[in-house]
Amino acid sequence: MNVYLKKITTCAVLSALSVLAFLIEGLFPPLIIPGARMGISNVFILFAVISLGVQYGFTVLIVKVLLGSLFSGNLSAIIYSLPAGLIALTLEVLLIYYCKNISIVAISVVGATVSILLQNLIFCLVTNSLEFLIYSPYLALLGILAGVIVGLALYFVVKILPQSFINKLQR
Amino acid sequence: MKNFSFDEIKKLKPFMVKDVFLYLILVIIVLTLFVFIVFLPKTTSNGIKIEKNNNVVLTYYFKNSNCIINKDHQNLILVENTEDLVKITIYEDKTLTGFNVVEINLANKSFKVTESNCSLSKECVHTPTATNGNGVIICAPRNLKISFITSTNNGIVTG
Repeated sequence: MNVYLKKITTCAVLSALSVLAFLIEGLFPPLIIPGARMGISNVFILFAVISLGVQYGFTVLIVKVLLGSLFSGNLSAIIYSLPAGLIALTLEVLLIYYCKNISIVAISVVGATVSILLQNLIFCLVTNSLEFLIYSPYLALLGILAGVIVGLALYFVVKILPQSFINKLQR
Repeated sequence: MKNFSFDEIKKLKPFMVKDVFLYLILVIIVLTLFVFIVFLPKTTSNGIKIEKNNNVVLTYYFKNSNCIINKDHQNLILVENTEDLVKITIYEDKTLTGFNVVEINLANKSFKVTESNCSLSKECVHTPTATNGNGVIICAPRNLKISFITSTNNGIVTG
């Protein structure tokens, strides 16, 4: 029960940090096309998956998308971000579980690229404007760059955190 | 699913040999996107169309500088011509408070939204200039779409 409470609390803190990062990202000038972000909030999502478990990772993602969209005043972002984020995170979890000896950076790159391409595709389908697909190659490159940054940030967080901290969460 | 070992994650390095396969797949995807979406398609544009609520409200043809406006929107659209620029102001409704300003550059056949009071983020203003017959600018809060007229989609004004 004590471990469960610790996990819930940690999940809540990670969710709050993820929403905060999402909102701060929105203050920066747009990258390539409006709405494209660096995805720094994904550091907290992937960390939740690694340290707490898959269901907590998905929880942080859903909270980030819902609250982030609500607080930023852009509710329509839920339509694009949530399905793309869920599919990308599922892919990342499958890679973590079933593909051994693949670095967290590579997993993050794959997740970021898939997420940004799916968001663009969903936007094109919802607005009935397939012309927006012309931005997808540039968005893919941006996704790769964002994935590298998020992956490296997560790698260093995992490296620095003491094992005893994680043991307290997982036992 | 069981919780996997955090120890295993700690042992991983930033780059492992098997990463090459994933990166190779991503490179192939990016190259394919560039080839089929950016380099191969050659579109020539006849003009520009502006759609509001999925209805074409204005069409501008480059060849003869012909501008056709939907009769229901005659009072909501203002067109100003200069030598190389056409400035189109589209008002949201009869109150004339909400507006988007589209600038068409006749020299390089491109268009861009230069002003808008649609939202805080003003994503239509920040969308890059559409050129070379490719590209589209969307103002989601106003349900406005500005795109090129190509041989596959004509800009017949409805209404």
